[in-house]
Amino acid sequence: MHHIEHVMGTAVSIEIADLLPRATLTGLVEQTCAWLHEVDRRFSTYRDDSEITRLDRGELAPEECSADTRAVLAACEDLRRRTDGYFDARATGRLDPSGYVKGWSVEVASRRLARAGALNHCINAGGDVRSRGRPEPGRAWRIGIRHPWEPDKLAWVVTGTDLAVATSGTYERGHHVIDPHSGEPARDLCSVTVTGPDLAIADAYATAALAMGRDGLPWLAGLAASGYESAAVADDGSAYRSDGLPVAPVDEPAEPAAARP
Amino acid sequence: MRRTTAAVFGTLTGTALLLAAKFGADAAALGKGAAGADQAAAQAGGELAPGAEAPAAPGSGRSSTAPGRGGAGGAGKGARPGGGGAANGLKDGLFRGKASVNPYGPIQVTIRVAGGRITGVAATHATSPARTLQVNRRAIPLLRQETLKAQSAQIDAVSGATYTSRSFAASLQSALAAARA
Repeated sequence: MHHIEHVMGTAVSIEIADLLPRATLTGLVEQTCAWLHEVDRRFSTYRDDSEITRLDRGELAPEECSADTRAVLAACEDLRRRTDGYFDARATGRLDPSGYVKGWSVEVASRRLARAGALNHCINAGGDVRSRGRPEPGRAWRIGIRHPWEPDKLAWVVTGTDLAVATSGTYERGHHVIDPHSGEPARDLCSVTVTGPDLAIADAYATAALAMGRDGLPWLAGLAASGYESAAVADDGSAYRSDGLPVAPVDEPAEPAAARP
Repeated sequence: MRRTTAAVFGTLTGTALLLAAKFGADAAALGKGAAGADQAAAQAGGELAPGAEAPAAPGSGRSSTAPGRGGAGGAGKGARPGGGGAANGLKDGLFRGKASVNPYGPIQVTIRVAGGRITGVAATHATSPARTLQVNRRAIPLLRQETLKAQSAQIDAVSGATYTSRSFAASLQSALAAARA
């Protein structure tokens, strides 16, 4: 079953590949969507009544927040330290943990699906992907990493049966990632992808590396030791990837996305 | 800028490039990045002899010379790439190249010359805030450089910069869904 839900300002694609009764699948999709909307309500910076907005305005004390919110804020602080301040939920001057929340909410949704018996699924939240299991027997999920300047082309294809893939880039929404140290928009890199076991962390790492600019390349290389592989494209068109990136073999010759045998 | 204290001897791929550029290996083979090498050198403790400075590494961001892992070759530990002894016109002493930016960040190389031969090569990474992390301290792991591809392939999902629900990528994802329905 495949469902697309518009939530958190983007399109979230939910694909469940398990052979379960249709009613079960529908229920799982509904639960997943309900969760994502709940997260949106609680964490959106666009809503006046979200916990985050009220916290930022000082109407709510951190200890009055829900356990989820406190966990998210603690995780953001941890990631701020691990990225040397380049992932900063306050980079814009206001509290905005959405760079973590989207990945986290999908990670939670994926865990819940697995616990409910849907062991084979893929959730794509606006370009950040969490996949588990297989799309069909004998084949792992194949996730394309978008080419920064050719929107219908892919720069890499990665594959896995338990894999998060997060990409941060300047090509969709312009130079919107701010280097918290300089206050200037991030330059030099136009696309950074991080793969690993946790989508929220992968997403934060990708955002941080983009903010670092070229300094992000050696920094990304160091992440491999903790299970996070990476690929990056610089503004000048140079491309880089870590040795352990789970790239899928490329079909040769490259044909348009048509039938493979 | 701060500077990491640990020098890396002979293991850094950038070192091989620098030496090749200096000592007569086919500079053209290094690509256009090397052409922009800055000849100006920083003073290194008064030991720098004019004209003997090590050239900077590929200076521009568009360098095509950035090596992948495993390209270090044998340039370290006093190897004599591309030439021999005094024929290089090397003066004895310690010479430090200008800090330059390669795709992996600023790097500064120091060579020691004795008897007209390079007897030591050290590279330090100048650090900006991003590199105060552990990751760059010792091994200096690197990403491998690849040719950027623009490929098409059978895929299940697309990862990309976060798009709005109206953007092309969303429609691509929808098209995938439709194609697989």
